[in-house]
Amino acid sequence: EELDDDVRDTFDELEIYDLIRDINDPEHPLTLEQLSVTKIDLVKVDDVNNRVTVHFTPTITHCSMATLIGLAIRVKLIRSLPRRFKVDVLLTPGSHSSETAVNKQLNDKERCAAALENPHLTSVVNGCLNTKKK
Amino acid sequence: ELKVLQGHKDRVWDVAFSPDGQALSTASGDKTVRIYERTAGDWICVATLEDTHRRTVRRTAWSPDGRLLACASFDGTTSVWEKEGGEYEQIAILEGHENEVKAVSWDISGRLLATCSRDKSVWIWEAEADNDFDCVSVLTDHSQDVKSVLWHPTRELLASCSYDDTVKIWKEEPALDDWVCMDSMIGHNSTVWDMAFDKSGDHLASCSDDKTVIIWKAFTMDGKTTYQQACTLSGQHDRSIYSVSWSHTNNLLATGAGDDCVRIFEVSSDGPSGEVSCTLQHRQVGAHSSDVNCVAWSPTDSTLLASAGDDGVVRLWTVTQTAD
Repeated sequence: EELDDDVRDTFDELEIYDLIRDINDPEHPLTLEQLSVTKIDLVKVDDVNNRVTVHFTPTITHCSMATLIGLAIRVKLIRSLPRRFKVDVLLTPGSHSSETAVNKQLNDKERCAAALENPHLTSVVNGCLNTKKK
Repeated sequence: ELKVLQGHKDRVWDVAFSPDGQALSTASGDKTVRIYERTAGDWICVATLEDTHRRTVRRTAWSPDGRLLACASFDGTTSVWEKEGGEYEQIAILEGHENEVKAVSWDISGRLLATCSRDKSVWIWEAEADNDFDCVSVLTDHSQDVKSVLWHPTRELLASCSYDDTVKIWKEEPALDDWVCMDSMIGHNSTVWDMAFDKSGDHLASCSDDKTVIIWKAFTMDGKTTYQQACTLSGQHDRSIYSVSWSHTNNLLATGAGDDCVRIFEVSSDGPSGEVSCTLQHRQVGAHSSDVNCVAWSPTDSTLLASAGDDGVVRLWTVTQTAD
């Protein structure tokens, strides 16, 4: 059954959280889980309707890396999940001074696509996603 | 569904019919443009324009005579191609934007070209002899990323829409020898992704990340044209609406959205004051297996609609209108 593409894999919150908990923070030698940027109760999955919503909480409210962290979470989920899922990555309400602007940019697919064609940005994101246990 | 056009190796952002409806161009994240021609009732890929753009090709636009094709790319340039004896040859490259070019559009005469970019500007280019394109104006009224530009179907009026949530209308001001913003239309609550004029240009539809379509109606007074909100289509789409196309052969409006659906609405403009209303005619659930980035009506065949999606394919649909 595992090898049969026609069998629909269902996903729950823990599986989604497992994908993102070990993402490295762009500035610290710690993971998003260790910094409490991501938490399992900030992950919502609606498997039937193909929706995944992840909120994240930067360590400080004026964190300049918020967009980059959000982009890394989005890229990880898009690379890992079946295409049927619609992924929304958002700041935890009240967690950032530019919450609306960061959320708008993170959920603009055109801006994300263009960002990922930038070799420098792609290498930074890939660095965050290089989650080999040290 | 009539046919699936495969071949792109990444998401397809755009599909555009040539003015005679006999060819279509598709633009993709795989950095290429593919051209299909209608041959004996079928659509055959006749050319792949590659090795020109270093990044995603976001949009394509055919000149009104169908001779030239312009391609806007995230690499910051716009290429212009000419069909010469069955082959497509690159004749010009328009450079100047600081970063991603998001859209390109030809005016009705084929003399002017408009481009827009994340650099917040709209550029107007004039075609000179010898395939030279001169920038005649740089318009900087938008405060954010400009998502699309579109010329009026009969007049030299340009519309643009942006991440700043507005739609703007531009006109050449002879006294100033420059282009000026005539109207800035506020109504959407988030990024405006795309626009479409009806055949006459008396109405403009705009679609947004706020999951609505607004239909604006033109009012001309003392030579100045402004557009006012005439109808808002809300509660129909579940995700961002990326594309809107208004058929120029009938009164149908199509949308493509992030909820994977293609929807078709009938627009009617009735009564003494020309009140505009919109009725959902059809909803194609799962039109693509991922976001629908573009919908386009054929300019000549009222039953033909094309759509392009993140699933890397272009689909051609036969639309039959049920008799009332």
